[in-house]
Amino acid sequence: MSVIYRLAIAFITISLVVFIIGGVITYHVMKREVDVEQRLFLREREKVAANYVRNSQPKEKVFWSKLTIEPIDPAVERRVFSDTLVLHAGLERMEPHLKLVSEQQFESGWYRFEIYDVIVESDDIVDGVVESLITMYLILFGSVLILAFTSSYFLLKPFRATLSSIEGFSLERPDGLTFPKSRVSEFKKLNQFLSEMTEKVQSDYRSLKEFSENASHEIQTPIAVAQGKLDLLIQDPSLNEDQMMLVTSAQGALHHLKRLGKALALLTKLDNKEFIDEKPLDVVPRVRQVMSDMHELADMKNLKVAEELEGSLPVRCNEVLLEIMLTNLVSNAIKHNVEDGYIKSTLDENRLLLENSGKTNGTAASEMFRRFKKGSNSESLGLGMAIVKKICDYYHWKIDYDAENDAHKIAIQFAQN
Amino acid sequence: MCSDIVVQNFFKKSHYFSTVKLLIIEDNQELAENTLRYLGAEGYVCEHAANLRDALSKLYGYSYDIVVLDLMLPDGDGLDILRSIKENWPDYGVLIISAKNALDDKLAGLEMGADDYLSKPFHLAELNARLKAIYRRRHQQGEDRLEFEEIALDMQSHEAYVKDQQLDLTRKEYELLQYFIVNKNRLLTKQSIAEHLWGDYMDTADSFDFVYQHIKNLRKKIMHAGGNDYLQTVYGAGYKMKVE
Repeated sequence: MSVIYRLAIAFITISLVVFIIGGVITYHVMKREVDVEQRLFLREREKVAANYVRNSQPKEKVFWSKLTIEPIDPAVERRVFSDTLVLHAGLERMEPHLKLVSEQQFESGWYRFEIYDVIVESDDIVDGVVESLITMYLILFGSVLILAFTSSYFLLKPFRATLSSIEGFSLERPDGLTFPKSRVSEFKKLNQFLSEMTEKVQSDYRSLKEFSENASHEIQTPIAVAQGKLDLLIQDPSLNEDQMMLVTSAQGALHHLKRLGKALALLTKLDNKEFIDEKPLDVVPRVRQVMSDMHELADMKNLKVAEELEGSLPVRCNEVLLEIMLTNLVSNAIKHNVEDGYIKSTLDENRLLLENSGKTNGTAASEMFRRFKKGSNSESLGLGMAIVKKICDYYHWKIDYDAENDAHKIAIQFAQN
Repeated sequence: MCSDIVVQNFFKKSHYFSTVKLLIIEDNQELAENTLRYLGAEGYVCEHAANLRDALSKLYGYSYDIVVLDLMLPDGDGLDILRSIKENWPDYGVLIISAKNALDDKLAGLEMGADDYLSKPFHLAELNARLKAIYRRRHQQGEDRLEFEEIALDMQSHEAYVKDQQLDLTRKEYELLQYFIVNKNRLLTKQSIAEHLWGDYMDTADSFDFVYQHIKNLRKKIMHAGGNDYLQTVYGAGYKMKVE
């Protein structure tokens, strides 16, 4: 819910409370005014009656409309207001009236006046107040909603534009964000801050990427030098067995370093989205190819390779990346297998399933695809599956990993062209 | 020595030059030195150029069989040299070497007519094998055979023979045997063998078992066909194909 609607709702709620309190106050004020006015009115009538008495000095009881004048025995002068029920002529039902009873002394003796008149009832005041307030409240409600709607549209327009700009923000994008101009100072500040921040982030990210890409490339030359020296050294016939062993293990470490550099360079390249060379390919023959390339390794562990691929699975991607991904998957399935285990590949529409036996140790999929996540094999780089995941992400293929009962299952949902 | 004669024969058979002339264009002095030393010992005649200018002047001044070209040069792009070679000396073989990942430069280089691509770091034995393959492809006349004593490889049909009896080898075993013959008398480390057969993807431990297994099988098959066992195990290091 947008902030304006929240404000509108808060405003409407508060004004409801204000209107209720206001209604009570209005009621009391009106009632007081009406009472005063009515009493004044009855007093006016009383004065008319008093004038009449002074002029005509009646001996008998006089009935006027809603007024009686009655000579009485001397008494104490008083004036009492009270409520009473009188039959209303027009409405033909009993209605509350205000009644004034006053006893006064004149030259011709004591008189009692009884004057009454229809009053404005408290019910009517309540009705009036409630009706007018509800009408006003509804008008307020409507106008607040309309205001909220229009102002959120016009006032927040630059803000929404900024938001959609940010949504489209990607670290990889070469160009910075452009924000629409706004005359609102807060939005101006926000946009300025955002464009400075995103520019900074992007340039930092770029230099980091360049650094890691360069580093992984630059590292290869010194490795090549060292490897060459060791290649030359090991040809020396005067080396004894121990020395050869030392050279060999140094070579092993260099090999590891070299693969690490290459794998990281590949990951960086994937991060940088630098693979543009895509073409339509069929996954099925490529899986077969990788399987047959690796069958000798599988044979060494005496694995049963069941390849149940029928039909074709067309995708559009970079050939080398697909090859790297499949090679990593299959070599992983062999590496983490057990003696006399199995590898099974099946196809379910555009879903490739690879299943292999192997000890399950409750590795979650998220763990599985992390960089430098290694199994029991300390020789491995721990980057194979991270690369697989990256390639899948790169092409928006969905990869799932599941392990139970000593069986590992990896499913890749390829995107259809 | 017997093996030297074979080297001579191998080159003589396909080309009237007795030695292969190489131009190594590499800006890293140490790396160039490694290459020169190893390939010099293999019987190549090598020259070195450390930058683009130097390389072009050597190309214009002398003639070569194969150019080993590092793409990243201090004063220019190695691909320019490749372009120039393809224009002026189309019969030169070109092997591209780059520290960049295979994916970027490989395609550009191969599309422009380079014969092969090797990414840094590489084993010198691998470089040797690639160079010989390039030379053979460019200078083969009719039959294309690789021989070592009584063992012969037919490079076109990918068949191996011991005294004219065909060996039943798997593809990897054939590649292994070829790698040994091309690098005969050289110590080949398990690492270099594994990389030759598998590329970079293999983990060390797995590939070593694998190499061991394959060499065992290969040895068995050669001996079964009546050949001698030329595959020596060098303890702690690797293997060597050598006549005792």
